[in-house]
Amino acid sequence: MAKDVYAFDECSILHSCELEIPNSHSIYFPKPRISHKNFPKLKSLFDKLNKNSIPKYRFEPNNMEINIIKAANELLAKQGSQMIVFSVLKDHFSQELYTFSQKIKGSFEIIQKSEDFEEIKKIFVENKRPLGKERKMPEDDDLMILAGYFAFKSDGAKYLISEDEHFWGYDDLIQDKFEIKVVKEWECDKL
Amino acid sequence: MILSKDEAMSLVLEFSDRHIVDSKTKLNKLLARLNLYFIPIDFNFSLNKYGSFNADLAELGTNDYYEIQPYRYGVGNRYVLKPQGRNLFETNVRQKLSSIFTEPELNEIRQRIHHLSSLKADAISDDEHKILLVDVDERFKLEQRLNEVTVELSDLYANLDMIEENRIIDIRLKALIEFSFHLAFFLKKKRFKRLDEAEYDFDAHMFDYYFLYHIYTIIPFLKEQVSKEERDAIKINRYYEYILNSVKTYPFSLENKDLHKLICS
Repeated sequence: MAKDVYAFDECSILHSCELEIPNSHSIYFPKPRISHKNFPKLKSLFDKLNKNSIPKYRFEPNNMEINIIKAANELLAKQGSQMIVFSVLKDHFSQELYTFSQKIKGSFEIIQKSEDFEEIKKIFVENKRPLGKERKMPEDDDLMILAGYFAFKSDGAKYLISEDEHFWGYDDLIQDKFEIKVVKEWECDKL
Repeated sequence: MILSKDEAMSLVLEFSDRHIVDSKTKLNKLLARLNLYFIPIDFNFSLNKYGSFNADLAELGTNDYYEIQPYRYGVGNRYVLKPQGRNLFETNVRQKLSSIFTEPELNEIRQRIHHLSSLKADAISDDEHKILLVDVDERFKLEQRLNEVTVELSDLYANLDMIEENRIIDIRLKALIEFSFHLAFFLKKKRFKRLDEAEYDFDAHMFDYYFLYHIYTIIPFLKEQVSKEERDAIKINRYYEYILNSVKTYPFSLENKDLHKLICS
């Protein structure tokens, strides 16, 4: 395990954040804190890696605000928009996620993304699959992650922990072509 | 973002003439004045006939940041900033304020407080009453202000969905409009519901007046921001921090578990 590389996509890192519910909205939530459903599993993996002094990796983020808004929307999706001052709560979650993302910056090593992904794109075009997602192909940012991670030197196995179907929907192809083992976020505690 | 009591004291004394405030009454007025500049401080103010009033000031004593010096031949004290207080301003206060003011804006506040610190306390509070429409004979103007604010914010609130959420600051702008809209109706229907009575309202909370004044003044800015793509993040953060976070004991607050019961729009 020690030489293996564990890299998390940006959304998975945000899913490891637990947020406080302001008093004003406590009637809408059963607990004083809220987190993504995969939070306990991510936390368990983080704890395991930290305990064994194994570094955690992330990819140079270039659309952090979009990911933060997406994560805030996911947390609010279950509650519906009938809550009082709904945008205020969304702002509260977005700000907490932003603060969290700034705070954990130092806890992750960075893997540079690569813009040299045209050949990788061809492989996906030739192997397009019927995913549940509307866009069946990984987006350019996903391809930049794969290109960067493929170029990253490592003696051990490379794991990519993600909830994104653009990765796990092509897990066998990604392992075969780029030697990257995609781990579904909700199964990451099994590592 | 809120300035602690010591930080607020260091700000007022740093900006005052010779870093001295020569009476408790004037200190009260200058601290209260920070509210008009959208600076949230951990001092709560109630309303009396002579302006905003804070009972906690009587309990302040000399500490690492400022000294309370009694006058030799008279009653009362003066408040003097210590070197550590100046340091507190430079390290903490300036850093906190940098998210809600540009450097030129902060310099403007410095000049205004410096000027006010040279006035008599009465002059400062007279000015404050006029700005906030506190006096009984200004009630009709206060009522007009309430009506105008609720109408304008209803329009802005109705078009909230037109603001796309591409950046965190877009969400903050929507949150500011949404909260201001509900707060305006809360002020109109609950806090100022007895405006037709001719007596001075001793039950009023000073922040009823501060919030109404501020919501009224930011409406043109909100309209402008809604209609354009570019955001003034510093100003949005300033107004947001003040209107949502400046006073935790105010009933219309995110700290209140029963906030949903106060929604009356």
